[in-house]
Amino acid sequence: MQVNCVIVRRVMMAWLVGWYIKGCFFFPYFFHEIVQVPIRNSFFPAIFSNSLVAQLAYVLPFLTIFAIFESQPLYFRLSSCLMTLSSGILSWHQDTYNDATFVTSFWVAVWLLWVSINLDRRDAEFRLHARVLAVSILSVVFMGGWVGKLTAEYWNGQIIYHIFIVSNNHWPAIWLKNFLPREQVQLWCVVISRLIIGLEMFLSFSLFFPFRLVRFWAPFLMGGIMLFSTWRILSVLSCLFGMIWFCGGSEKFDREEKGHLLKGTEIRKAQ
Amino acid sequence: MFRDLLIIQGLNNLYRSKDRGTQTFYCFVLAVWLLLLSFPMNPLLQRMMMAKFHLRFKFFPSWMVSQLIPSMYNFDNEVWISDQLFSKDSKTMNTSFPSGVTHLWVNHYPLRLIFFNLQRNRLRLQQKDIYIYLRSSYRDTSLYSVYRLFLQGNELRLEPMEND
Repeated sequence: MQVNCVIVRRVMMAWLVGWYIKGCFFFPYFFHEIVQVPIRNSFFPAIFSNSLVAQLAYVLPFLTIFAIFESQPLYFRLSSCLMTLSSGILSWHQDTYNDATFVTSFWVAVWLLWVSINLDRRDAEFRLHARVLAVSILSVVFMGGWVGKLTAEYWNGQIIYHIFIVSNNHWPAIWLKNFLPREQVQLWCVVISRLIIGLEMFLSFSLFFPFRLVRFWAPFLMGGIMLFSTWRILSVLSCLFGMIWFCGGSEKFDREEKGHLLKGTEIRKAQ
Repeated sequence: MFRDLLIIQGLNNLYRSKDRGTQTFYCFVLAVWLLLLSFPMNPLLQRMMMAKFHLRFKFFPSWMVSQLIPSMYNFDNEVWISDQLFSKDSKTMNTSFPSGVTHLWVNHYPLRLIFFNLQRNRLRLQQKDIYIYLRSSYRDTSLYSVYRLFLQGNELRLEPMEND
């Protein structure tokens, strides 16, 4: 199977995992909450506050599964268009604009669209551009997060403390509030907040590091960010993880392809 | 040494290439990266991103463009929720809200507290107007907005009020 198809298939799978991982929230939200209790806001045009538009944009990318199983170039191109369109719509829709899942998915979908359009290319330049663009997208996403945290309130842990401890009623926060003195919890928040800022800074400048370093470290660092915040952030990070990890898989495939070509030459010589 | 960097290799190669699609894609991604890098020194951009969070753009298409710029966990976003409307002078400071007023911190897009939950019906059952005060701060820049949530017929309406 062509290498580019394998890469696109795998990145699409990672994209779909992120897209549907919060399904336990999104399905009741799209099919019950926003239909039963609509909220109108004059800022949004009718199309971007319509619940049917949101439902379709959320459900339709599931059709990508056909492209993943069929591996036809046309299906890949149509699926990436659908992914780009759906993530764009949900980034602009009144009921979903506030979830970073859709913005990150949009950037990865554009990358998938670019790869799908160039699916027939097997030259080294194309592989290089695929990697550079993937790492640049990773840098853009984390640069967006990092620069917004360069404030005294993030540096002294105050915001992390309020978001994850005071305003949070999940069990780790309750446990921390019950079993540790307030000063100790605040101290941990300072450490975690600075660690997140450091991790995001590394990822923001990853386009200046060697690809191998980024490919192996970025998923670990993203895992670290998830550990310090919430598993739900996987909906944002899954597509990025897939794009960085699988776009680098081509070296192995290159060797396999070369191996096949050599085998073919040897067989022809023997004949 | 610098020639080994992935981005330099990519740009070197791109310079010789005639692939317009790839060149456009590079320009788009790197322009956003550079724009974001200028963010801490650019109060105009900071205010624009805050206006994005508060839905305060005059033109929806420009908000659509700004939405594609990632901004996870940005700013110090605080929200006060009350059934009372406080006067302009008393609401810009945190301490001037009475102690009974609900006060929360939000990671990004502070209005998500209203839109993005599975308990919207509780808001409808309240039968009272609710005032939502938003404040986003970043270094010396801050943006303050007030919204009113009220019942109109069977649906809830969220509309901006006096803003700074």
